[in-house]
Amino acid sequence: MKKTFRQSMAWLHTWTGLLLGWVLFAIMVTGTATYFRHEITRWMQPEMPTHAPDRATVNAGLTRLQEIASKAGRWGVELPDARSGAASIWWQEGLGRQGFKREVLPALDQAGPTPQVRDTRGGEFFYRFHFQLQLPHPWGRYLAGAAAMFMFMALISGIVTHRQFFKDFFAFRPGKNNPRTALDLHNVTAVLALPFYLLISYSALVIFMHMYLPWAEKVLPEEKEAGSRPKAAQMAGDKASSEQSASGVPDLAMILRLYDKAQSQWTTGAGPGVRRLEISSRNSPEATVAFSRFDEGGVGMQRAAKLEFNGITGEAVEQKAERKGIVTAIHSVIYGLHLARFAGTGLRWGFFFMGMMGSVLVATGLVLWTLKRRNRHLSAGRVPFGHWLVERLNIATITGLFIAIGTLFWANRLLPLSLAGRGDWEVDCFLYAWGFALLHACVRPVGKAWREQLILVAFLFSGLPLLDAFTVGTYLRSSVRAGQWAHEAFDVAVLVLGLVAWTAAVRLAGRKVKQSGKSPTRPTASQAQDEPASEVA
Amino acid sequence: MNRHLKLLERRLEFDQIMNGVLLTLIFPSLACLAVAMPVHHRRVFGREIAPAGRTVWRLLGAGGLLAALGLVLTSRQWTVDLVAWTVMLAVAGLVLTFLLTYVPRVLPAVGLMALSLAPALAWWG
Amino acid sequence: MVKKSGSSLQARLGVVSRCVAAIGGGYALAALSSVVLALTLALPREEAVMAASMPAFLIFAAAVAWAFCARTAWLAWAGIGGPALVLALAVWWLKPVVTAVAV
Repeated sequence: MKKTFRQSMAWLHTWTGLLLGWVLFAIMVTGTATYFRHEITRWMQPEMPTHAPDRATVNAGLTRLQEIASKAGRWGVELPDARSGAASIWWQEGLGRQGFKREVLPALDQAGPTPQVRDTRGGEFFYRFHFQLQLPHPWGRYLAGAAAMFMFMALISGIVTHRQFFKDFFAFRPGKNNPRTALDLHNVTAVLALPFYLLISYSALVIFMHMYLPWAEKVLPEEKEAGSRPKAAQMAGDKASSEQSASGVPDLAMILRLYDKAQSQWTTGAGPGVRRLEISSRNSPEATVAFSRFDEGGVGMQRAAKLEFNGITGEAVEQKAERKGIVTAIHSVIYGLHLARFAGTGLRWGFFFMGMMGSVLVATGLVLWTLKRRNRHLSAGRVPFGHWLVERLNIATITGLFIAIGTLFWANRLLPLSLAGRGDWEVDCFLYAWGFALLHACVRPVGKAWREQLILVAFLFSGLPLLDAFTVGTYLRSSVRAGQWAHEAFDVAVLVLGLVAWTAAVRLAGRKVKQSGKSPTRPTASQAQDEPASEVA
Repeated sequence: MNRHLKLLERRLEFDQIMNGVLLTLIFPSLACLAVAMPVHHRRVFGREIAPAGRTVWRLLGAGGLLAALGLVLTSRQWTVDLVAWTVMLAVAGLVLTFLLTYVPRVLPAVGLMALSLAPALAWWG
Repeated sequence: MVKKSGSSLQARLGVVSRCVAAIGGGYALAALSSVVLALTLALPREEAVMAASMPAFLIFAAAVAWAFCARTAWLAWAGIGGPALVLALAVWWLKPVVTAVAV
């Protein structure tokens, strides 16, 4: 539509990048946080005890279930991995989701009452926000899918547009009042992690393809599966079970014996052992005891290996062999790469780092849009509403999101433990803080809005370790004694982010900002805008 | 300590060592590729690059990256390490970019230090 | 950028038309391609669905790129509508065959 292919692609890059850029930034940042989802949960629930994934924990879980849910049709015990820390138990008394309850197992070695674990969404909040955006189902997922498709297009057109970046490889020219700086940062972050961006946008689409492209599924007839019990019958079995006598209940000693069997079968090959056990149709002759295994490593997403036993006799139940074709393998690798569950500590930090680079990429892209047009509007003497809006949304999204996240963490430490619906309150604080940031960005001049929000981000993030030490210092110390560093790593990470925001704010304040002040819609000097994006992540 | 946890820990340890080796090989290789470019060569060494020098630096850089890739492909968990290779490329590239911007003169020292760490880490692992 | 193309009403309409071609037409093309692939691939159901849907996103992306780099809006529509029509015909032809086999 332009004269050349490249100009057309530049146009496409500009607009696909801008239109959902703000949504994309929020998805990027929360997705980056999600790499440390369990660690964030542990920070947000410092009272959470830790357990070893062993027989004693299973025993304690079963004993506890016996105490509080002896009538329930289904039981489960989930053992922790090195990251999640605590074991939990769940049970289900009715049908479907109703009657489903879960609780964290109290500490095994501690005498006396265990402290109340605070109600919070923890890292789960970031995980959910990453693809649901706090919107009602299914709209959040559709919006996230649209954002992923826009990102994919922006990447493809961006490769064509910014071809010359290979000439400027490794080049970063920090300058004042210069869109070049933002462009350099945009190029550097883009080209270094390009495979990562292509992968995460495409795999995001693939993960939810049954929602975005359900047509292939709809057009193919359902296969009639022989041998597997229909869901309805299974449900009915669960219901019937609660009325039967307790004579068919699998006894604890046998479950533990089965646990030993499963554990030794799996760990003899030097692999990981049992992760969860589930007892279904308790109180009925059809009772089963099933074990599933920890992830076995490797990039591909795979269904956890499973062992199933008859709950009465203890005999092994034959498992249906899983079909595994090349297509399934490709799909599982694409899926697995997005979730990065295989990543150990070092690699996880690498992914986190690339996620931050992606956030900087989107942020610099958004800021560049305003920088490139600013001078033209200034010389024309009039700033169109669209430009005003983009400038404000940039501030409200880039620094505003961090204000909201900082507020969420502060709320986690400051809201009273006894508050009803405490976890929801935390999320409300997050949303109110974000709304405040949007309002603030709209009423202040652009340069001041950036600076003030950056200072607030800096205060919130660098203050967190102090707040943490004051409010839950005892847990902090005990986690250090136990040699668990996730809590400290969190404090150090937010401190670093806070310091980065301080630096950005100080550098902005140190510059002379052209401030006409005549019209609230007039943009201020560009240096007020190119910096924050570069520092924020 | 339970056996499973120990295994898990050993896996993490191995993972970290591999990442370390990768980073220490990838960083100097990328640095070689960077100083093969006239602009960066001038900033790092303070003089113009000879045409022959360009070829040598390029070969060194590409060779290092390929060596790291080879190391990756022979590993037991090569799929994970292949991912680690690309991740390290991005991380090392960003570090290199900022070094080139703010302290270009220290690049040779940092590169050599990283390079000498690689065999040490490999031997230790 | 936008000024140059948006100076006349016709150019603006052209952009809108291309957007519709890219999003609506591109999606239709992707959906049709996934259906045709699903119907023709001789794979187990679950795998056929994956193998049909995964490349569809790439086809969508190619259609969007075409919609904005074709010389005129008419060409943009032709490049997307043509293949879509062919695929729609293929679905129409394939569908009875497949249902017959399944029954």
